[in-house]
Amino acid sequence: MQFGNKSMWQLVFSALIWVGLQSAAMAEVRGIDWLELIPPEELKAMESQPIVDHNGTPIAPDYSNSHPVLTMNGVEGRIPGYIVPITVTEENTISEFFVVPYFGACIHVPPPPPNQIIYVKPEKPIEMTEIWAAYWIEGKLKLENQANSLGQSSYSMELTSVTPWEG
Amino acid sequence: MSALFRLAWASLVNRRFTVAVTVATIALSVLLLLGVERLRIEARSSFLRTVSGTDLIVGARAHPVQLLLYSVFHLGDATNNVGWDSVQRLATRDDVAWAVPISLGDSHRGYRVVGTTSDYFRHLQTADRPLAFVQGEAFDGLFDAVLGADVAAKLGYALGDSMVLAHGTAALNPHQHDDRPFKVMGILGRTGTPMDQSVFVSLQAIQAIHLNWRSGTRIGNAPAEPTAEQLQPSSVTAVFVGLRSRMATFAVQRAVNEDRNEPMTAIMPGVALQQLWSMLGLVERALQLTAACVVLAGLLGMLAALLGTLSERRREMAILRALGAGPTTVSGLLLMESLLLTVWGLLTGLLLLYVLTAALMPFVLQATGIALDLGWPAASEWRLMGWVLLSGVLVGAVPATMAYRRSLADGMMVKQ
Amino acid sequence: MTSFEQTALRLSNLRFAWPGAEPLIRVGLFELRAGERVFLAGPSGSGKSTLLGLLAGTLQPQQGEVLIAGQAVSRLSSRQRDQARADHIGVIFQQFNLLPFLSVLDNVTLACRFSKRRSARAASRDGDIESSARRLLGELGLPTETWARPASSLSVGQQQRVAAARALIGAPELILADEPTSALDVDARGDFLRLLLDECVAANTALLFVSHDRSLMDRFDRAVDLRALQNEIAA
Repeated sequence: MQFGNKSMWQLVFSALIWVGLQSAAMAEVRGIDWLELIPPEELKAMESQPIVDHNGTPIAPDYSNSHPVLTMNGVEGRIPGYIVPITVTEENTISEFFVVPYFGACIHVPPPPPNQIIYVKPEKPIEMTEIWAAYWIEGKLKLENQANSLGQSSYSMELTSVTPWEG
Repeated sequence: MSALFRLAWASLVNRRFTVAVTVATIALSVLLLLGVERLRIEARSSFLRTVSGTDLIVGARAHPVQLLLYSVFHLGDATNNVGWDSVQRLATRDDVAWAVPISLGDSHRGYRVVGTTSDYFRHLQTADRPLAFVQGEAFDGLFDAVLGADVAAKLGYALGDSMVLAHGTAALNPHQHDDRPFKVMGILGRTGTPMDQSVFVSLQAIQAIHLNWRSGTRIGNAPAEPTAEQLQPSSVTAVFVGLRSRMATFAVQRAVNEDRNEPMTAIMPGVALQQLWSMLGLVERALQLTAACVVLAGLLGMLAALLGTLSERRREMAILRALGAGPTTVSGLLLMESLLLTVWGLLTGLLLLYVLTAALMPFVLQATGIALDLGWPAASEWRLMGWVLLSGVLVGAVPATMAYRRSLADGMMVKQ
Repeated sequence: MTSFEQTALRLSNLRFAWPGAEPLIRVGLFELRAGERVFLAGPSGSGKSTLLGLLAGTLQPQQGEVLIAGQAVSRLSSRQRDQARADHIGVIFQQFNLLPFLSVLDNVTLACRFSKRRSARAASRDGDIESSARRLLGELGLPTETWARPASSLSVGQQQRVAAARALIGAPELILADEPTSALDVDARGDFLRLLLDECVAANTALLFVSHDRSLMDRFDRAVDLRALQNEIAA
């Protein structure tokens, strides 16, 4: 290896630029907040609801007013959440799952409304995850026009990666 | 290298009795190791392919895994039932697309009888494939039955045959409903799941045959022409539910869990399976660890055998040195012997595995519903065999090193 | 290097001592010409095994030089010395010469498996090493039905002849024989020695015959006493 060798320095320089771009790209991954998935007027309504009371009777959730935020369609980023498997394959991998902001909460906390649930069907089934562990789920949000019984559309995601959430 | 191989081979064949014992020990331990692995893989895939296409399973309040086990795998029994009113309320919800109730508790010669509606065959799937009839169709008349593939095969039933159901789930049963025999109306294709060992009848049929039973005892004969009212089921064991939109899963689950009229549990099958698997994971690992220890014991037996012969072989090693072999070659001979012993043990163990699998396949299927596989070893099995081979060579390094040192010191003169 | 113009064996200024002990071997000069047959007398314990180790290259002297077939071996690495031994030296022990789990024939050809040079020599003489082995076994008086049998099934006398065949195959420059007749009956000793000597003459192989049986001494070119050898400054 000779110092002053021009093509060698060009190679080193390009490599450094490439590494820089990669880390810049990684730093660029947009974090998605769960609250972004709720329209502002619904957020306001939620704030006026009573605080969770562990002694009273559970409040039956009314989700007829739950709508998605249309501008979130196509947003790429990552969101921290829990993975709830829907379909498990014979090889013990997950081929369909929900991403939710919390899981296994006590019965006094209502279940997540449709605009706080993301449906994911990855191209390749993912490795089995742990029920109680949180993950970063990265991909592109999409709004599906699935007609559910309440005539609403819901969030799904084109998956890029699933990585453990380190805290 | 080939000279060393031939020397090692001739040396081992010469000590064939000791060698046979060593090979047998390794073979048996390999059999255990691979057998456990095979069962583990088969059991897991057998379980995992059973549940598909169902959004929720609802039963009387129970641990999610327990509910999964008795409703899907027909393992264990429910302690309580779900009332018919609750079933109706569930089925008529806006967000529910279909609801298939099942009623368990009867048996036919050891096979579970599942009382259900004909919707069962339309909605329930295994391994993402819908159920298919190889012969006939779903039940139509009151006393029609549909058989799972294994039931028909094992008991030799064909379309049109007649069968008698028993009360309770014990295999040999004095409590027969022989006043009301059933006719085989359809036979399902093989699914590799507990469905193969089930007999399906309508919910009304279950009611009909129990009409003259009080507290588990038969009194007289069941009425020949029961009324619709008499045939109305009052409760079921569990309900399989499909939703219009899967996004409503959590909401419906919560609604069922908090139902004020009846204590019930709704489970998401994927989640319950995940829980089941983390419970079983501990058992799996314990079994694997045990098997690994047995292999180690087998290899240590090989070590003992090789070490035991070292002193006798000093003369042999001196001869080789005189011929121009170095201490490396001499220790290489012992290493080659341990490699050969391990390989012979592996191959024999593998052979035993296949022979035993072929012999035991039908019994295992009958007892547990697990279908053993006679195919090529899986990736994990190859890896295990690789580990055994590596361990064998490492164990062989012990006498090889000792031989090296002794040969170096002795040269070609053995001080007798 | 052709063997007829070399010495088969040469020791010069050799000194060897076991760690922490007095020098055991002190040889000023000792030589065997190609094809020479020498009787070495010496009781056990006088350093005979050690000397044989130095000659064969399993031991390294602290001082001096060992030449085998013109090649200086004492400063070589142990692997090179092992190879030199395989190439140039045949060894016959007093007993238990053979690997019991190999056949008679395989025992003989084993010597060639460690030396390409000897393999080549045997092949050029008889076509291939098995034929060479068969020839030698025949010449040494071993019946053909024994050749395929395991070596352990032969009598002691027969085993010693097989050992001789192994030492001779591929015409090495030197044979070291350590009391090869001591385990045989008195009658058999003469026969064995005659056959061995005949073969050495035919192949021009030098022979160093270590023994305490002086009755055999006169068949050799030269007789040397080990104790006298130790005190020699010049041969």
